[in-house]
Amino acid sequence: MALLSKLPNRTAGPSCICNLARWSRSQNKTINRTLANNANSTPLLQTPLYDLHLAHGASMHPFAGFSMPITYETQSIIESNKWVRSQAGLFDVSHMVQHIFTGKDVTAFLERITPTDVRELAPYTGVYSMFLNNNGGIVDDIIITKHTDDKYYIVTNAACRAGDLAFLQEQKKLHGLSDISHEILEEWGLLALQGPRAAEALQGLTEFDLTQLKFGNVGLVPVKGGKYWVSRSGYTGEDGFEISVPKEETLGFTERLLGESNSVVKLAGLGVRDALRLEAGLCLYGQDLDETTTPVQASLSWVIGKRRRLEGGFNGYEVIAEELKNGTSRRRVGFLSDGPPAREGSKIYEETGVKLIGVVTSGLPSPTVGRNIAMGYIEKSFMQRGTEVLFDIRSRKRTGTVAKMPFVPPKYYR
Amino acid sequence: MSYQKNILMVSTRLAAVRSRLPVAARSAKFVPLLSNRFYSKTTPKTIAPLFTVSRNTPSTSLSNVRGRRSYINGSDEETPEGLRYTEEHEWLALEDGNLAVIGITGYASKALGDVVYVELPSVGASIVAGEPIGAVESVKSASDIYSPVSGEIIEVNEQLDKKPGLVNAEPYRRGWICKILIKDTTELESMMDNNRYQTFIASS
Repeated sequence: MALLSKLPNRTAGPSCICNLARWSRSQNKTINRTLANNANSTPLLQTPLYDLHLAHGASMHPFAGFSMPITYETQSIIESNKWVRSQAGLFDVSHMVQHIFTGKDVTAFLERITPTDVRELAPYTGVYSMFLNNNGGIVDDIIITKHTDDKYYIVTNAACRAGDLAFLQEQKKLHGLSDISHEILEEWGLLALQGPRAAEALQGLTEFDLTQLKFGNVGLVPVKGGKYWVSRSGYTGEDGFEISVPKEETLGFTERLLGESNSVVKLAGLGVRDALRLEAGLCLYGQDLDETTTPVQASLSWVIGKRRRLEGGFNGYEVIAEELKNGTSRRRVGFLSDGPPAREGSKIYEETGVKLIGVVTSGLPSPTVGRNIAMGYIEKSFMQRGTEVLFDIRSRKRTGTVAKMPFVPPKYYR
Repeated sequence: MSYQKNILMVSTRLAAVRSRLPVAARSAKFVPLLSNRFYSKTTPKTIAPLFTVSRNTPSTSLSNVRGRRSYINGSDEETPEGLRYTEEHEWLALEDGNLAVIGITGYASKALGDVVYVELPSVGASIVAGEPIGAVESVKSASDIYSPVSGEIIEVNEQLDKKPGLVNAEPYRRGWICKILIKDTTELESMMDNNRYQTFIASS
């Protein structure tokens, strides 16, 4: 059995520079643990597509308590990256948590715990947002989709499940909002179909005119066998769809999508997903964002609604208003470099190599750009595009420059 | 620590290296170590020496010899016989008693995925067994390469600068990483042969 490419660093633990043997041994141990369902450790959860992944030669690896496909044996990460950006890739992201909130107090509740203009959000539209704590720190990054003023669909990160549920419980009590029903679509499937030919592939399965669904819109799309909520969204920078499917129907729908697309759609794993999202300049919670980071520091001020900036009324407003007015000491920026890639944890120095000015939070060689890309936090005075910096990589200083994100221009369907 | 590409400096170093070679090699007509391009005319079937140590073979002209370097029988899929292996998944091919060629195994390169960058050691560096001498990077990970032996780096595979993918495509052929002049051949005794390496992989 082939060994696995390394996971997003957050779940793998130690720094990315690792002894080949130690790393490969730990990978194998993990595979064995997955297969053996060792009584000493909690067995890993499986998505509805677990068997399908194995049948397609996936290298499975633990991620957020699930056994997830990282790569498939038919394509390397580089090949898969090129495929998603030229054809269509299908990602199983069923491990993510799908929430339904219903009730008259939901809008007010979401306006307290996020900086989004939830009240004015158009029906059947979704936006990128975040849960905030009292210090303005990001508890998790999320997608909020409004169906109606009384019904919302929210997707949160798998690895943050326990923290998010505790946060939501505590916030409901704190703000004394009672007319809120919270349901989790347990074990439901969530599929992300991404790429320039995604629309063509999905259109083949439905009469619903997908040209009516613009980026951010959601619609109930009938396909043979059911009706599924499909949003024109994704986390790769490509045009695409995220489809929420009941547990029992996920496998059938996926097989139809793969089978009837004339080989346009190929399965893609979490390994390439990480490369694609970084190329699109998108953050990974736990690496690029955490509870000590505010949206302003994370260069995500655009998430804060205009009305919200003036009126406030959300967690951490005092901190964030002050940062919006007077700036922050550090900001998230992008980097380009050549030679060895600067990865998570690499220290950043200014060009004489003396002063430590920041740290890389994500980085890898970009298959699309052909250079190394990275994102990280840097002292505000160095954040201008084109600023020369030095990365400490294996005790050597390597040059890089501050660069504009996204590294690959988005192709959202608008 | 940048390795020198200047031919003049390399040939000075060669002179120093030659003086440490076994006597037979020193005085034979052999192809200098100047560049990867200079091989024996015969296509080697087994582990090929870098230079032939026979007085009967006509000396090869520097300018027009081409040939394929190969350290193995058979395809790149199999772990070759005749090489030595480490638990860190490096292979070592020994030539003329104390010249070691180092690379990483197909097992390791397959695990890494597409190699996009190889950090090579510097020519002339003095190495102690177990010391990291470079790294191999794929999209998702970076792994250190450890030298199984002590000695001096006398050549690095500069092809890997432009074609790091050779580590995946030909881990035992054109994907070799560096050559070390060994001080102490007893260090080789603790390395694994092909059978033991296969067992090691299977059990880990």
